[in-house]
Amino acid sequence: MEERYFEITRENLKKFVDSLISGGSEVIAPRDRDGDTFYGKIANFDEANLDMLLPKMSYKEFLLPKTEILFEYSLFGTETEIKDGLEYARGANKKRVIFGGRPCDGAAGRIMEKVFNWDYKDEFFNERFKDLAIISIACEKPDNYCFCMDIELSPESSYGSDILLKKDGGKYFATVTDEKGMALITPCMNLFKEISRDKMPAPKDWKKSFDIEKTKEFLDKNFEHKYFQERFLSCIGCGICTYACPTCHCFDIQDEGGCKEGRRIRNWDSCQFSIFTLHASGHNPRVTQGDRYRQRLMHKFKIYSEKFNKYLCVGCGRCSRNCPEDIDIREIAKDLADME
Amino acid sequence: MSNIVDEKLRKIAKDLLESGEVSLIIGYGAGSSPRRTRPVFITDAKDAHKLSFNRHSVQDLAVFLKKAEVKKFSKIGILVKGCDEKAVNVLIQEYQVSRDNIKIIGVECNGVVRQNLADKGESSVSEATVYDKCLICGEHRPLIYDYLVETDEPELKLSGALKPYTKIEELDAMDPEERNEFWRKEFEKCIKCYACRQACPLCYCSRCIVEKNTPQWIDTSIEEPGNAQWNLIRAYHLSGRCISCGECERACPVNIPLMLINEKMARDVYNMFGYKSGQDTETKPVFGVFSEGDLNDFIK
Amino acid sequence: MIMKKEDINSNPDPRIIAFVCNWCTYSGADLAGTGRMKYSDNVRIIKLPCSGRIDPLFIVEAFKKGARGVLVSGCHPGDCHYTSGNYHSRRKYAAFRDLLGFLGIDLNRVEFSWISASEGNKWVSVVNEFTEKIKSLEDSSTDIFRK
Repeated sequence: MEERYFEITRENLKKFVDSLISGGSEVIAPRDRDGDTFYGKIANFDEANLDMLLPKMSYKEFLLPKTEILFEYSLFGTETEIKDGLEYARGANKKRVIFGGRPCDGAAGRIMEKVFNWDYKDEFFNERFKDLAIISIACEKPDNYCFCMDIELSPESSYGSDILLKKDGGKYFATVTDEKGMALITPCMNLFKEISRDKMPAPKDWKKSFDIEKTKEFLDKNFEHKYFQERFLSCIGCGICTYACPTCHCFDIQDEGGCKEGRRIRNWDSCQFSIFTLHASGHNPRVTQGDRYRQRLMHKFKIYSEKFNKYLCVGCGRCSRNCPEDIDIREIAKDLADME
Repeated sequence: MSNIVDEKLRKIAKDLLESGEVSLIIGYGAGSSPRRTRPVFITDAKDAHKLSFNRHSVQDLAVFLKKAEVKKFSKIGILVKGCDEKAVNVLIQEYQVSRDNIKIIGVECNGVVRQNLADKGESSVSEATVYDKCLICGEHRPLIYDYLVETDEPELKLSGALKPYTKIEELDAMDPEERNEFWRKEFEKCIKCYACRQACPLCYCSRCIVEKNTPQWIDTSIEEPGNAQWNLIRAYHLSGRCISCGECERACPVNIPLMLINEKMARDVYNMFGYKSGQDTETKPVFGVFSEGDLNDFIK
Repeated sequence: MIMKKEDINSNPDPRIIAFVCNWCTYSGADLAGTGRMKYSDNVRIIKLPCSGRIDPLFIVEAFKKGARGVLVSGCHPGDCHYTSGNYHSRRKYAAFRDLLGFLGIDLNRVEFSWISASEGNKWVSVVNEFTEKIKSLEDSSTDIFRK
């Protein structure tokens, strides 16, 4: 679909979101909780906090649930019943809208999608991804941890978002990128005013702070560099970076239950745990936390980009903001780019 | 903050490294923002100028003593606040580190600013901006140290209006159903990243109970009831040991008030056995010993 | 098998798990049996070497799998076969019990007792009283450990 452009007042935006909710949609938006902001279900537009930069955690649990049931089994006498976990995934996001996230979060789903489809087509992810509608709001003021502009996105990028809203002079300008976005606004067309592309506010000139290609070049050549071991002495391996990351998608398949009933599930997992790579023999190919954080950098900026020509990172900076030991991935990517 | 503290620190670190008494200094250095510091690891006296300490030095550096990569340095100098120093005491008490191999550089501290407030721009120390642990701190000056650096921060003024951990009394007054509901809601948020464990200086098991799977005591699934089991067992393994540095709660990405449980257990253990953790290195751990006169009322 | 909440709540015969030490309480229960004393059949006994071996995880596991009450029992103080196992366990359980209570478990559901090998009578009365107590409780206050 060709992109279409609309104009909407803040008042009408409120009406639009409220009508989504009254129409039976589950709207997930940044909400204040426990002194921070998290994504959560809102009951009306006013509950959403659209002024803050980014919620503390991403919304990836709606694409990759913390615990996804692959199948369940139960035995009654000689009868065996097996339930396909796909039934839970199917249609789970049919009426779910992510509202008020930023362009980085909007891009995350599409970046993960490539991983879940390059070889094996992951039905669970695809089922959830195809239905999830994403309405993002362009950033006006990225903070010091943000670096989307450095990894080929921008605070105004519509990549991955079904609708991108841009605030300008008390009004919002909407870029609708696909059918899913159109389907959302069609019932409320009276609130939107279609405009031509040239009426859209001009994109700002976002400056890059380093060259991510150089980071990749460094990673290509310096697997054994002492930087990794020295810099990540301060990493405690808590894995918050991976859990908060909108694009980290590693999981661990586990069986739960016994001889009468049980299930196979996949849980979130993290490359920052030593047990993640521990072999049954007791050998661990990634011994130190330096090895593990290097893996995270490699996967984000080298391995993924070689395969898909994009980075497995949206530059949201959550890993840096949330790191208890203040490891800043942007600073590190920049360090690596600057190193010879 | 003042450079006097930093200069003293740097001098101590430089001397220790130059004399070869230690091969590594774990300290704080400039962070990603003016209101953050980060752990730095100094192995060369030339780098001692990177050390710095201020009201934003929230991390408990004792957590690194459990890390294999750090243990390799064997002779270690560590910068600790009063609360963090208690963790070193427990590690010595539990034979995890040897007192001979460790030089404790204590810094006097009059409260650190909550990190989430600091990230929003807060940089003043007051009873409203510091952690709850600072409000009841009894160790502004570390209990044990080899070197002491005195602070020039003004003493934390307590009006008494803000009581720390008030939720504990509220919870105690509730009936079990309400408490159950409160914690169910809290544990529902848990994403089982185990950051609480990793950030804890005293969670040093080489294989955690959640990683043992024959049998699998704690469900791996990131939902109830596995979340509650995990949080219960973590708290239990720390009762009588936790030194209230608050790192688990600070690290928790979904803001579960873990310190309520830790603090409650610390109080109960003190009330029942008169034991406070981390006060010295000689006393036996409270659950490593017993007394014939221990509480018997709850047993038929 | 993990019982669903509804199944547990609708069951008029609550399941009670008793973790007992090999040397005293188990022998006491055995004495009750050989003495043909009758006691509530809701209780299922799990024998361990010593009350010191009864890990708090066992209690959690029992609740998780649908027990409505858990009884922990060992030798009287001073009588431990291993000298001090029960002293250690007493200290441990004093703290663990508080923790359970703080997290919202109804402490009526957890019972501790010292029963010696000669106290078949005490075993019978402890089990019967505990069963009556459990039956009289509205069920839900161990929900935190159940699906």
